[in-house]
Amino acid sequence: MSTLLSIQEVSKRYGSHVALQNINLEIQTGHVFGLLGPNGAGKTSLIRIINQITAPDEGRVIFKGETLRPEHIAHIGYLPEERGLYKKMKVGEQCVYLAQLKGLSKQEAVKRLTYWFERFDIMAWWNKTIEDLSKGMAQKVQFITTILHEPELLILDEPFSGFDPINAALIREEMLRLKGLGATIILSTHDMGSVEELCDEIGLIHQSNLILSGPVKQVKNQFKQHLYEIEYIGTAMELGIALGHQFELMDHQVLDGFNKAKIKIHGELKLNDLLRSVMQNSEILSARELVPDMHEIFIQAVTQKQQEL
Amino acid sequence: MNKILLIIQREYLSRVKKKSFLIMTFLGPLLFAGLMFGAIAVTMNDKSVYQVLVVDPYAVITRVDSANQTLYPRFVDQFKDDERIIYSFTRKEVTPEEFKEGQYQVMLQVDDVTINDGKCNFYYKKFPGESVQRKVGDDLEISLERFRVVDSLQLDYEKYKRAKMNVSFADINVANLGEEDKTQEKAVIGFVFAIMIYMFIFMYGVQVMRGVIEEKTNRIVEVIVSSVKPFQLMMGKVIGIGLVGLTQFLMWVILSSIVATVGISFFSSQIAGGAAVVENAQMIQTGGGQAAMMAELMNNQAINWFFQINWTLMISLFIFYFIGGYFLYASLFAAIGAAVDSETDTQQFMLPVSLPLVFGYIVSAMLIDNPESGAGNFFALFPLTSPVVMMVKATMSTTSVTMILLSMAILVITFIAFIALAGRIYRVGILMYGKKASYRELWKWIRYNP
Repeated sequence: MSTLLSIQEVSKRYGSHVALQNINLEIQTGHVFGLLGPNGAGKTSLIRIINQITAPDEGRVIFKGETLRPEHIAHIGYLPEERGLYKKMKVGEQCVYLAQLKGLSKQEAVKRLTYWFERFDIMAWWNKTIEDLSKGMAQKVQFITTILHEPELLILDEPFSGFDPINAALIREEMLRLKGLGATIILSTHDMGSVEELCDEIGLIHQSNLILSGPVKQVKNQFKQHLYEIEYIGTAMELGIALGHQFELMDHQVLDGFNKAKIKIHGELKLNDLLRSVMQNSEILSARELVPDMHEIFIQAVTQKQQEL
Repeated sequence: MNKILLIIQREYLSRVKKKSFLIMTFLGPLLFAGLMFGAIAVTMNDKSVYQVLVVDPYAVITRVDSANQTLYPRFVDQFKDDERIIYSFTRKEVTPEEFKEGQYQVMLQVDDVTINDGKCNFYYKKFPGESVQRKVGDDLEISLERFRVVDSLQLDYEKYKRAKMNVSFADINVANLGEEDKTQEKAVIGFVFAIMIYMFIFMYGVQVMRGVIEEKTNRIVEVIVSSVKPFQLMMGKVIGIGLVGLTQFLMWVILSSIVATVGISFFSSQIAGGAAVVENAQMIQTGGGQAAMMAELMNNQAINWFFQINWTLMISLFIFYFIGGYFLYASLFAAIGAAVDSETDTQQFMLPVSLPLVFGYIVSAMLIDNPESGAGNFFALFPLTSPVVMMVKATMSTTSVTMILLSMAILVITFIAFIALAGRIYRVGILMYGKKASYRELWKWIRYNP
């Protein structure tokens, strides 16, 4: 596996305000990287540095083994959170213009646009102005302009906001397809569901600092609390006896014909040990480990950091 | 294609394709010419006949014919009827009310004040126009003069006429020996140029500002600056819109020359037929109104100075000063656009930027009366006013080639500096939302690292 983008000790200040402090990140080729963080954490500043809209005060950005330079723009596609197109310009004309700015020839741009417009079934919009389109329609157009030049690195800032579920699914599908074709994606979003579904790695920025990063699985493991949920047939008293001092009953619910218990395992013990103990006087219906979801991890990491400060 | 060229192309095409541009381009000169020719046409085509009553209670300019007891003008050659004026005379007092009720359209009251000071009440029901008033005025003036010469001074009028002299100046600038200089008239043309520069810089400068605000509020700027440098975007916009301005100007020059050629040939044939519109050139020079000025412009003799103006040079100067002044102001307007979130926030920055331009316009207007003033020289060099002021000075030929070159150099150096400065504000401003930009904030932006 190779690194497509490497952010090394990047810092950025605006006057006295520190936007980014000593950020280090590695983004692997062909992966979806979730760039997370509360509002105002510094995500946009980092994205702007990668897009070369601004330059870092310290540190450097390496793209495919080379220091980031203007020629790399043609390999990067950027969908900003705040979408915008020229309202009075015709859709087709506008897409050609933006593609040309990304280095495509006019002919090539028209050819590719025709393909995408047909694919998204929006050919009829070609001669309409953006004013005439709904917000969701304009978003679709903007998504096309972002990926038209077949960038190796896609930076998508809240790509699903403003889309209805059908179109959001369409965009999600396209992202996965592009990933399959080898594109690397930086996904900046507050929608933790899509992070869990799409991302291979994440980086969490909070108050200008990177406070958490790594493969999703690894991050989740890091936040595991060794909690298990068991559904069983038996009584709570019997379960209590079986658990002894090695296991801690965190929560217990009596349901229709069976019970549900949330149990924490201490020390070096494993799920097998728990099951062995419970099996003695109860019938186990199911057992699973309770892994925190990204939403919980996000909140936990951010509040933890805030308490530290 | 080069990205800045792409931006220029978009800015240019999206504007010249607009209906409003086409309408302005074709209607502008027509409207302008229409207004000027219309004003003349009104005075020239007014063929109505005016009955003028001359009230002469002191009997200074009328005489009674003993045969039929009728009043006649006392001095031959004066108060003769022509195709537009029919004179009648009375020695009885006529009140304005009586005049209002009566048949006459104009009434001239020659009272003691008129006799002593030359001030005369000119009553009318409908203003008869410059030419009628001038004819009546001339008749009265010469009649009174003859009355004073003959009656008061007891002199022979013919002798007096021989002794009397009118002084008229032929303005000759020693730098251009051999040709009579019509500085005043040229000033008017220069002023028209100045107004155009002023108008163009403002019109297109504001368009730059609007364009920047549009991109910023649209948020498309974020997409574009991920493809091009903010400076390229700014320059592309400034140049593209500037080219729109130049296109419009050139179209106006071409269309105006067509309209003017047609118009002048039409009106000169009219004048040649009528012959008498311009009778007293001196009077026109001392302020005979715009229509009369235009009439003089078209008079064969007077039109010479019109061709004295080096039009090729003037149009080249216009293009240079438009470009220079436009770059200077457009870069400032671009910076303003980048600093605000909406057009309503532009007020606090607009005033200091537009003030020098307005000032240049005022100085230009004053130059017409005071062409060689020292302040004029200063403002012709000062880059924020030179595009407007120097146009007037250059048309009037009250400046030297060295001065023009110096002002051009200062202008170019300043606009380069302004563009650099505006670029620094621009690249920060376009990505800054919701922050109220103060002058202090702008200064901070200028010093930011990119």
